[in-house]
Amino acid sequence: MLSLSDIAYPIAELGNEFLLIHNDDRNYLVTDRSLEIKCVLVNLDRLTIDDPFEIELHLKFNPWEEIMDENKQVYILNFIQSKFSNLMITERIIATLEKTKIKHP
Amino acid sequence: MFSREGITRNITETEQSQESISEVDSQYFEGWDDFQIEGNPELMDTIKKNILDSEVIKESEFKRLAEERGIPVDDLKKLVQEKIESLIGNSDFFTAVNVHVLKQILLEDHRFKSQFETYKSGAFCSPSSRSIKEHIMFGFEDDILHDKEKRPIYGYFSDGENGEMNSEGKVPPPNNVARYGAVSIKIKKEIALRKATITFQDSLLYCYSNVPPTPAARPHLVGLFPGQIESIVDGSKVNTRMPINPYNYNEAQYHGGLNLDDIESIHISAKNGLNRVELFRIKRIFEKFKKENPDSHVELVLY
Repeated sequence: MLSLSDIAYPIAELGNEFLLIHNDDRNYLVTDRSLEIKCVLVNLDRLTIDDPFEIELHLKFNPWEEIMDENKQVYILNFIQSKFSNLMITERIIATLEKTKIKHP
Repeated sequence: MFSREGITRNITETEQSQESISEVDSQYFEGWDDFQIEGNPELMDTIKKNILDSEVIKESEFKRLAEERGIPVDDLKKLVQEKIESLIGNSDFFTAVNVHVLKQILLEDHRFKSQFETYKSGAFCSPSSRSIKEHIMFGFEDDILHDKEKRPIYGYFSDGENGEMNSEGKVPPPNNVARYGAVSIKIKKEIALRKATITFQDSLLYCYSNVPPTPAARPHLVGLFPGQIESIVDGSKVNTRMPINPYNYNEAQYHGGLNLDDIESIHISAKNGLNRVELFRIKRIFEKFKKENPDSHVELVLY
């Protein structure tokens, strides 16, 4: 069974909002296909998980900060797991990112 | 998909004769040289070129729409042009931010920032593809390090008093732009008219659709998709708070930077997705802002 860390990569933060992309989609960042990358926005203030949406459009609209510290990424994923049910994480994040990840080629 | 080579080819293909300027364009471009939007020096020339290129590409579409309605093409264009000017004239201009960004703007930075400023060298989230598009749309230098604080700030326009923007034209349901932030910041209209360009959809799609940004103070009909033109001609498009595409929004791009003095009011509501804690935090942030800026005329509007 796939775990959250197998699939989700916390790439950017804006206060208590986080953008997660599929681990495999990192290969398409800064490429011609970056507009195809979908992300899931997790809001830890509201405890909501938004529908998947193009990450480029989120990055365009606000001064998102990239999360570059691996320890912080692990911490964020753990925090998400502590706040949401397994079912919600499976359906709203893992299954969603698996479904929306960029198909090769 | 999208590449520098593809863009170059696309521009070359659209560099057709610009000699056959329509009557509408003759009037539209009258006094253009004296008309300015604050922003990068290449902005006005780039906008004009994009408008003329787009009009050449869309000419057959305008002809089809005119023929279907049994009117001359110039009459159709005049009608659409008048209506688009009226729609924008009745609109206000906003940005959508979350509580964290609102705090940064009001208490820390005292201006709006784009991701070009928060991007760190070597990181994955490079705004390089947006840089290409901003070069095409606005002539901004295609260099992610160039004049970062002057990069366009993205927002939206709506004729709803609180910045309503969804298929209902009212809140609830939450605005389509609430995914970017449930706090709507209204920009002073005179500032927006000096700084903004507009599109009737997300501008990143322009490079695929030939629907270019045009000045808010001087909107042009080529900024509309064919379906939107039909809605305007047929009279079903009567406001800007209900985007024709139910998931879409009407975008404003503010040039030359936005700061505290450009803000008219801040609009917040539980009906737009903010919870009680967030509303409380916003009120605290605003109180602190007012304490630090007692002469500020910015208003907090709870609706």
